Amino acid sequence: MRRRVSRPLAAAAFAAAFLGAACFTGCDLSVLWSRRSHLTDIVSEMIPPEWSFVGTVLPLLWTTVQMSVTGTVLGAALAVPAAMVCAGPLPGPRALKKLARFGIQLLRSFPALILALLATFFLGIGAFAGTAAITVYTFAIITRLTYEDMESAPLGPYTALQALGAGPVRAFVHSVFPEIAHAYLTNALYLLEGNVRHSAILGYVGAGGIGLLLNEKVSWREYGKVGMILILLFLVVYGMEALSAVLTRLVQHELTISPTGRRLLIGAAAGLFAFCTLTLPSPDLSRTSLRMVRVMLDGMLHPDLELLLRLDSSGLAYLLLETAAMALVGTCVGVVVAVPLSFLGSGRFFPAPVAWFFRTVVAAVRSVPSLIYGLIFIRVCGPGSFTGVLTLAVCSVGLLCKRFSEAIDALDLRSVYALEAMGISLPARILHAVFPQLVPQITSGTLYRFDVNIREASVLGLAGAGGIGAPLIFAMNQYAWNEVSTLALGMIFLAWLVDLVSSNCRKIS
Amino acid sequence: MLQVQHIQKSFPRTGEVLKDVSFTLKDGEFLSVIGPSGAGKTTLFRILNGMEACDGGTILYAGVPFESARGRDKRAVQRTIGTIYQDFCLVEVSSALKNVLNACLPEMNTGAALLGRFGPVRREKAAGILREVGLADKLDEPVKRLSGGQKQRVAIARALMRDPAVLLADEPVASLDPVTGRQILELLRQVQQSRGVSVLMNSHNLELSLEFSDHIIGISRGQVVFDGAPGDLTEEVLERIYGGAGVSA
Repeated sequence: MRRRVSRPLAAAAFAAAFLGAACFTGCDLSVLWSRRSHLTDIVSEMIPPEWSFVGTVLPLLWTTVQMSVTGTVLGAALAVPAAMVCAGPLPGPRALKKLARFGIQLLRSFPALILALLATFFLGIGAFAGTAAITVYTFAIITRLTYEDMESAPLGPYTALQALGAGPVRAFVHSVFPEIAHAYLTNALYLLEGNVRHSAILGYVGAGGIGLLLNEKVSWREYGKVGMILILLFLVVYGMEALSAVLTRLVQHELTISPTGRRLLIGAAAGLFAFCTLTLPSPDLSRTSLRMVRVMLDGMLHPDLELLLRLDSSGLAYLLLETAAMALVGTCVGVVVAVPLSFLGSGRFFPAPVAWFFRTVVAAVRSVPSLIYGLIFIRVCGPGSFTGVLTLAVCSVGLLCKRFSEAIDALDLRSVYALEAMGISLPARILHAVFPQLVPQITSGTLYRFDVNIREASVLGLAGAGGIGAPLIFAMNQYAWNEVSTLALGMIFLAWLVDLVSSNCRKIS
Repeated sequence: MLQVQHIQKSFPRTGEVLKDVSFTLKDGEFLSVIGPSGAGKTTLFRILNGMEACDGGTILYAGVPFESARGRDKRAVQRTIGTIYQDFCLVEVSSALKNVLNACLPEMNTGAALLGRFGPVRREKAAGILREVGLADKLDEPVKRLSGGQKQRVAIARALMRDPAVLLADEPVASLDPVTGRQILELLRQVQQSRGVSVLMNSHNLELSLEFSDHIIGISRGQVVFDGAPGDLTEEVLERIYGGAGVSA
């Protein structure tokens, strides 16, 4: 049964929430406009980049790629058995399934950066900790997506194989796995390209890769060097996206290759993974001790209640509200900009050169890690949540455009041609024939992005852009585990709330 | 071959679905279970293939009790039963051959089963059965690219892969057009005759059931109201089975 919600009422509630959040985060476009010269100055200082810096950047960039490849492959591989434990159709104690799902939801509440900071306490400073963080991050996301896919796969074949006398695991592997294999691989490839961006900032907390250098150069205002790093990062992300696009088409059987080619490809992928994994630096366990773990656990089990109940701007409630408000406004602005941009970037409505130009611009926007936008916007608008909103908006544009463009490319254009044959103009065709088809994808893309932005918002605290991230990271660095516990509980609560809201929004839409 | 004695089943929501159902399927016989929607045919079918437990009564496959068997014993009996479904229940993205080979999963050791290493002997057998059901040129075709009739042929091949003694068919032609439906039943009869398999079919299609069966069981509101040869089905008996709901031919 669908619950009917009055649309005008929902729209009014949403508008009120948006305006409230915009006021709360101190959004003021006049500030941005009056200080726009700061932004253009920074960008113009990045061009031309300092070419001599390439030699310094490349080894660190390689570590970044290494961390993301190993982390993604390991995380995705571990997700398969975990998803089988969580999936409803397979037999198993209900309590265990619930517990496993709860654990996955807990892990999913934290951005890779926070996981990386935690990993450095156990595994020492360096790329090993970063890889561990990317592994856990990927594991949580893919497990969730995979068990959901497993549950929505047709169960008839599974029942049929069981009726033939096959045990549940065998029947499941041979009936449900083939059906979800392409979705699983597509998700893993999607995360692989995203993880390159995530790995690029883990250096901030000492977890290896290019992040530390990037932070240093931004802080010292050596924008020529920053420009060089960003160009190389763009090339890597662009290359990863191109590679993942080809692999996705292979997975979805839109491209076919010979069996020999297939074997070569699998061999090359396995070789790359082995090389990335085997050349990782080993963990530094010198600081790790049982006592440290005990202190950490003790603090985590005794959350700071004073922080929980405090009502001023340093209390948990305020920080959570600020984080949610930043994510809400940032996502909405992102959607409003991304929708027209993704049409401009689609070869189906605009000439190929125009589409290519916009696609490249969006890809460039996308390749810069969110924290860098944060650090740049902070030079323009000063510290505070408005900077966070701007950062999240720009990051959302980059990723939403990609999602929307994919949806536009998959559109059924027959109804558009029918309207064209009736002499109806392009904007009207888009509005009446294209838009209705896109609404589900735009809704789900937006909700997904909002979910991601909640986590991203907490990372931005590191750049001084407001939200719960900064106090959390400070508390972790000061080993104030009882404060960490309170703030982490807050983030888990927020992630759970957003999950609840977005699943209800999906039902309504 | 199959003896069903005093089967009872009720569900919390719908109440008693099967009341004291008894009949016998002889070796090499083609038996059809007919009755209106909601008469309990599908529940009976699910009890017979072990996907549902019954509340009372006995089921004997070749003299071996089935309803009380659990785990390994139950699976051993299930391996002698081939099942065919209305909606085929095939893995759509896998090839026809792979779907047929899936029937071998229960007898393989764990590693080979999980990795899908079926071996050349099984592959050759599966290919042979697919040729037998008329799909010689579709072995490597993904099932999603086959027509409804071809899918049902793959499902029959999968059921035959285990050399079953009994074939259970739940509305095997309900998703097919009349011409294809008749071809599928002809294939089932051919299999029944050439391999000596007993066939038990649930069907809505009275005309085809009468034409192809040796034995008819009529069920109405969870009770057997007719048990005899197709020739003995009079208008009055049909009235009793379908209860004035009209005869769907």
